[in-house]
Amino acid sequence: MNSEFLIHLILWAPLVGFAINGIFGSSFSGKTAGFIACLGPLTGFVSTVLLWSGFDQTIQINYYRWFGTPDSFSVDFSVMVDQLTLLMLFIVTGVGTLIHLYSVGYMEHDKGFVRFMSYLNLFIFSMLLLVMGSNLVMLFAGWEGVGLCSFLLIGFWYKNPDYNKAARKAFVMNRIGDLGFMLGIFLLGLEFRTLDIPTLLSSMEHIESGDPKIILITILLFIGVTGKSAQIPLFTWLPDAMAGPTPVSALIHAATMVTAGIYLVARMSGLFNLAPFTLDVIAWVGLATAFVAATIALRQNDIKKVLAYSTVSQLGFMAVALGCAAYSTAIFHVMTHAFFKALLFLGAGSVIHGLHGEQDISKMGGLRNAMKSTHLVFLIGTLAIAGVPPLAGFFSKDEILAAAFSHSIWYFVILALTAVLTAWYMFRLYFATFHGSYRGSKETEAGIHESGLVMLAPLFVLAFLSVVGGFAGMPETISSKHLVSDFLKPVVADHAHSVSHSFEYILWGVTLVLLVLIVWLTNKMYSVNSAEVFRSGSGWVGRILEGKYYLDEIYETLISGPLRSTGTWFKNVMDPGVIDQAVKLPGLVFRNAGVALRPLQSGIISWYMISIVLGLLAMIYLFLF
Amino acid sequence: MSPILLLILFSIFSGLLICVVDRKWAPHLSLATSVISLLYYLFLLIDFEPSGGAAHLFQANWIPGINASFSVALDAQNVLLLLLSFLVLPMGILASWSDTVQRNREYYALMSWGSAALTGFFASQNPFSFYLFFELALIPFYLIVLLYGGAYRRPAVFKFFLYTVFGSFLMLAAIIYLYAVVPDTDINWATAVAEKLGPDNQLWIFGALFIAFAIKSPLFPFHTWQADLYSEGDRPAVMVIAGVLSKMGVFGFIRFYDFVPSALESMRYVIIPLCIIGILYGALVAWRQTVMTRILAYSSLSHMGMIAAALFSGTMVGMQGSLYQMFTHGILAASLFFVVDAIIRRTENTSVYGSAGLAQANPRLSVYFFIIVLASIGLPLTSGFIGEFYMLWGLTQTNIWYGAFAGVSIILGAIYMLRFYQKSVFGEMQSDKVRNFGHLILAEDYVLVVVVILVLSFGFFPGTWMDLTHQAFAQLIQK
Amino acid sequence: MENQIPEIFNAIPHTHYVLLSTILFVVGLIGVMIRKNVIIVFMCIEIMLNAVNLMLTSTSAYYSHAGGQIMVFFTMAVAAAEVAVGLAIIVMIYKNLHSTNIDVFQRLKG
Repeated sequence: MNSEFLIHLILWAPLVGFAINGIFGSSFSGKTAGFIACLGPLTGFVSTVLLWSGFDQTIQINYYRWFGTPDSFSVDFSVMVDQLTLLMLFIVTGVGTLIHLYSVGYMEHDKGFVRFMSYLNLFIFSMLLLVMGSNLVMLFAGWEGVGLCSFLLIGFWYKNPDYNKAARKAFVMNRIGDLGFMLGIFLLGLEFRTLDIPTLLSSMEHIESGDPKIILITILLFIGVTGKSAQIPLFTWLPDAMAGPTPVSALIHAATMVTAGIYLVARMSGLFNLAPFTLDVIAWVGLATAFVAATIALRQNDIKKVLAYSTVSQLGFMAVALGCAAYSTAIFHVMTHAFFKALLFLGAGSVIHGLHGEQDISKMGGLRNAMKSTHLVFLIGTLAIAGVPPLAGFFSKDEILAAAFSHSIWYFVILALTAVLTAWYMFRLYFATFHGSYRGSKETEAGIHESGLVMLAPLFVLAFLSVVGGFAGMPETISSKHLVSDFLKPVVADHAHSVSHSFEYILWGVTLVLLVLIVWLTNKMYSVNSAEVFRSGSGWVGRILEGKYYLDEIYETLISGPLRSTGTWFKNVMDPGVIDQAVKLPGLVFRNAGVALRPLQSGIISWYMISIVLGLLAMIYLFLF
Repeated sequence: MSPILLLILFSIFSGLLICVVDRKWAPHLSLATSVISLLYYLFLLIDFEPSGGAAHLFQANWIPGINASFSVALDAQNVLLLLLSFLVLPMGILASWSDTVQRNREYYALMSWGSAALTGFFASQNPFSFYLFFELALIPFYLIVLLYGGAYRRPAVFKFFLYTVFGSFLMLAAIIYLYAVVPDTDINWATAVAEKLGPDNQLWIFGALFIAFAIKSPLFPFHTWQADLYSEGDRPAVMVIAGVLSKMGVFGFIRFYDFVPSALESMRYVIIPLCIIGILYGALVAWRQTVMTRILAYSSLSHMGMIAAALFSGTMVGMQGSLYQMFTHGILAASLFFVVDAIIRRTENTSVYGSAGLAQANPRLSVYFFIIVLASIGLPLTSGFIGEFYMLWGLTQTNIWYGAFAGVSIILGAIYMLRFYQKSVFGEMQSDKVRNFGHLILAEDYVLVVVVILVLSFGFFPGTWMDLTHQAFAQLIQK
Repeated sequence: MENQIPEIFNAIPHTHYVLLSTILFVVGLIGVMIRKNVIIVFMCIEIMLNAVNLMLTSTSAYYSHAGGQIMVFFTMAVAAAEVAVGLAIIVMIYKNLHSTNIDVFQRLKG
């Protein structure tokens, strides 16, 4: 089939689905709406496969000139598909389809089912705009669009003010990043007179590495990345975003949207390569994020919160890969992470569904008997994220570690430590949920049930992908072909060094030993019958971790609190008290002058007469003498 | 006869007609005439050639002694704003549709006359007709607010009037001075004036004009009339005031751009920071307000600050964005007032907390409302984004710190608009008034659908209009 | 143009006219300032007017210039009108308040 037609189909099918469900949805039955909604990403996925099978070169489609100014810049409404886009398309439409399918089961009893499905479709459309946009403004449009959908879906249960707050927080935090992104776009446009990505990248050749302007631009773009991809200091919105329904967490806050930042840096890799300083910043921010989030995850009891912090931590891993200029490695991890994290979230969703909304792991336990299938896929997910060979996470994480090692020993040490923590909190989660004995109340125990097929089918597909997904990127020691990085080579400017084979073998050996140790320890600690171990600890370390380093509180005290009180002060004091008074001042002067002069107008005619005479005399005096 | 003059006369005449027809037909007649004006104007646009200078020019000598003439025409600078005023007027009339009984014939006649004055204002081609219509436009809206406003309308409208008149006098003095300096008002008048004035005198003229226009817009710190008027005024009229009248000030800056070029150049570094303070100030106050109309007032203050800042950036891109945003913000401000009016009329509560749970009571209105909110926080693919993108680009081009600080408004804007939306639409239904909210009437549905179409089409297809704004400033920038 | 002034006018020096009208004017002025009865005040105003008239006519005659005398006609016409209106007001006030004291006019102040 004509590949341009396929691209039209990929991009517009979800939007059509959104429009149909959004406008006529109220008259549809749940089944119809669900079917229409699934059709959007499914069409996209099938088209992507067809497109891929006949793909040989970058395809760019210009729909029309969006806006622009002669001799300044011109922005087309245009999309393009190259290798990087294609890979992202697979992730977005593939995982997207699975999660749509899952949602049909998960949300079928919700009153807002049609609304939910249409939002999901809108999200897919925005995400496609993001990955297919051939200029930075198109990319930005998708970027903001996914932020909007994230806002809508986090606050999906809009009656709850806390959820609304979380939604707003996510949107605003993203907007902070977006401002940086936007300024970066402006500076790029002013510098290169174009916003078209291929043109931009091709004009990089003449730029010297370390140009301060490029460093400023890349730092600004990276600020955008910290917002969307939940890096320090803007990551606090992501854990709160768990207020949304679980499929949303899986699709938006694990598999696709949050990786947009990683995609952006990989997309602009030619630019970032020119700014070594920025790459260092990215790497250090990534390291800090990975480590901080992993430590917080150690002490969380909400099943979704653990996964959320794990996502933040994994995004940190990807950022480190970017910082080491190993862009295709980062994208590889985006891919494997999409598989196993979506799997874990959907598995968690299945658990929550089975327990009628319970999310606290201290009240779970022993679910391996009641929910056999969920248990199996969750275990696969856990093994994959912990990096057990030969599952997906093992290969991508191994590659990141190798890149970090080749770059700096410190990167490697911190990252390896974080990987250990990752395995620890994931096995803690797994054992607490599925082993030991049930710790909830007796009444709820009877209600535990396995989820239906429509929810399990996507889980099995994702589990399969989590097992085999890693083979797309095997290290040199095993295979000379690295499918992902070979595929991406034409568009992503990798800059990473390789490591020696002996290092790889040592790394794997140590990993295995550590993993066995962790599994043994966590099993001992958390496969328990009482909720004692989950109580909040008394040590200060534990308290800080439970308090999430008190970052929310710090932001509240340092930034939003003062801003809010400034606003209140402006509203209550400055506006009516100072500015308005200053405006009223002339009026007041005249009014008081009037009051002061009023007695002169006494009404006693003799006085008027006398004053006339006096005035006359004064005038005579003035004029004559 | 020039079609532009025809449009002005048509509005005046239809106002007179409305005064004499049967009372119950007054709203219909006024709606019909406003729609006819709109359609006729759209018809004019079909073969309008922006690069060709002023089209449909009508000029008549007025005061020969000082060469003052009355002259109106359609040109690249005013096309969008005329469109705005013709669009907002029917919206305003439709907003009054559900309780036409309370409003007399005079109300609709005043609306028509207001429209005539606005048309004349935007179409005016020289300072003298500019001043004439600047003053004329004040009267109908003053009277409407005075006659039909809320409980505390008197002090509010008095403040508005005094403020504006104060500014007008300064402007009048400046204009008289312009005529006195170079009495020969031919094509190169502005340049001749600018040359003859010299930098020092230009500063004075600019100062006088700035205060007049800053009051009208309003810009910080001349804004204190705004919130009172917006919350006490008759809301359909406030739609026109917030949507169209508030653009008169900034439009004035465009019109007088040539007269004081060196003053603009030297004052840029004072005015832009002032505007940016206004942007942030307005946004912070809007954040803490709980009265819906006041939130809109301060959000308007913030937006107008941005529009003015971008205009003063002196860059083509910034000015284009500024003009485009004037149009967009006009539509959005008017439609936000429209929505708020629809809510307040039914819940009889002006607080944002008064209509909690609206999403359940009337999902349709909530969706329209949401789209308008998104456009006003500048989400891509809505009309608000294009203007904001251009304006911030222009400011960044002047100085990256301007771009950064003005850009904070996209964060604060998201905060206050989303807070506003969530508090007033989401949550549990609290009051019976919300529970019995009822459907939208047909008039409301029409208006909101049109607004949504406008918002999306101006977001997806701004190309033609953007070229138009480029034409508008091509000559100014070259000089 | 000399010797056109009739002899008779030279019999009384112009200074006398000036003095007389000044005295009359001052009398009227003081009357307006200190008297309380409206009628009297009114009469005092008339005295002042007539003092001015006298001044105008005499000076006009002395310099044989008709302008001053024409002015007097205007003054008299205006004075007549003023008397008509003023007396009417006074009568109305007296009818309503039974007083011609000037202090009642205080009530007119805003």
